[in-house]
Amino acid sequence: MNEQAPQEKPALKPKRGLAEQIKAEHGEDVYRCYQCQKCSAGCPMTFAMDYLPSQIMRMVQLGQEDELLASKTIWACLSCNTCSIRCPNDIDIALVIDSLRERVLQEGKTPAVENVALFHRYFLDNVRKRGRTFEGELLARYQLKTGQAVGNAALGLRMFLKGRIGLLPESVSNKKAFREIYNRVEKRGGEK
Amino acid sequence: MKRIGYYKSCSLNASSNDYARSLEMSFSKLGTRLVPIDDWNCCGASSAHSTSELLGLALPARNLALAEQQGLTTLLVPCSACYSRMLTAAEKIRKNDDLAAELNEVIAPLRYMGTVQVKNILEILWNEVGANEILHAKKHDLGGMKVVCYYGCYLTRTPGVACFDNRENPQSMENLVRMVGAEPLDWPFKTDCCGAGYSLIDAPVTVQLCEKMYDMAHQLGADAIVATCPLCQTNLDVNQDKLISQKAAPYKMPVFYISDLIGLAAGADFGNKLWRKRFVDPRELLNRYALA
Repeated sequence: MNEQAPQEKPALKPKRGLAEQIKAEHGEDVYRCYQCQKCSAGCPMTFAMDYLPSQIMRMVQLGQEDELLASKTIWACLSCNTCSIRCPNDIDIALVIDSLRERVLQEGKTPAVENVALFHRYFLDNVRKRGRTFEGELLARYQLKTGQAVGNAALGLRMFLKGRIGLLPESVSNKKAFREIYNRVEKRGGEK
Repeated sequence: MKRIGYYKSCSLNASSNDYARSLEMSFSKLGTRLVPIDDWNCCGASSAHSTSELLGLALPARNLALAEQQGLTTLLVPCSACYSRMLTAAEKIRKNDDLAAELNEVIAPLRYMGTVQVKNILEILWNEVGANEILHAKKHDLGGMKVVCYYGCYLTRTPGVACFDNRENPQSMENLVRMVGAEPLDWPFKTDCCGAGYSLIDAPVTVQLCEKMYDMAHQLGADAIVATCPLCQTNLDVNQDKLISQKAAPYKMPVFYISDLIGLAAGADFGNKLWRKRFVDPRELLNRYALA
């Protein structure tokens, strides 16, 4: 038998501030969560998560920001909103998860699932250019970067043969004026 | 002829141009003209709200302002993801004056005053076109074709906004297909997530989410799946085709849009030009029901 005392886990130090900031910036009061776990029970993506949605809520209450921003859960979330509409305390849980993703990017941290964040960035770059998505360009750029080209290229070819991929990009009439929307959002600290 | 505003959106403009065709042809049979928002932009989809709440509201706000400028008070948003984003923006602007002012600064010189009603396809068919018009336009009966209605996430799950139907067990699509002579089957996955938003990021995850739906629909004896969203339709269509060719999966359930079925009943001549764009080819099924 090992006579040494079991190694003690580092004590969790609750910190205030994160939940208050989320309330101020996004209007969601995470302190209302009483851990009924309905969100976790209904979530279709728990198999890809390291913390359940209900655990994420608790961690926000306790201000465990480092763990939250490094978690896979926030990138596994598909924003299906099942948690948000079932929450008995009316917390828009999917919006809280959005706010954590936003925080990772704003603080320049590395997302735990990099491909998801990369796709969002390429998608938004694509929209910024012309105001509308140009799917062919978006897919080519994403697939070259992530090396997923083989499987998706076959699908892309079939979509093309079915006349479902536009050959020429479309854009809004005044691209410069449109980009001002992005610039103004960035000035307010809302986009990276 | 009745005029309804129409946010065509990126999907209907390219990868799901078959939905645009289906909608436009069906609505012309129903005495309703869809008037697109001139100069619309992408709503930002999941990527905008996932990374910046403000951008995720500003991109829809520009479209709402343009629709308002054109005098379009009722706006059909056929894509469920766009619908949810446009509805979220419209409601947040309506309830929060500070946010409305900030968004108007972001989209200036455009300005949104809050007069546009954002509607999905089921609401438009029920409340703007109406049951009378659908029945009046009906030339063919769908002959009891067995279908499962798939609502997915965003038709009934926009947080903070009253829902047009029951969130967990909606019935409006079932009632529409029943009206044109199809038989809707009760099934448990009508509002489950198919993962379409991740179809380009992580395709295997979406196959996993779709497979249980196919198995259930197939066991219940469904001839087809009916959807309203271009992302859901494409995802359900492509993944099914993938499972059929890779695992010899036993199902062959074409994935229709609700407008396909309403249009077929009203005698819209969709023809090969539309059906060849689908992955699981519906022509054999349509022949069986004498609808091709």
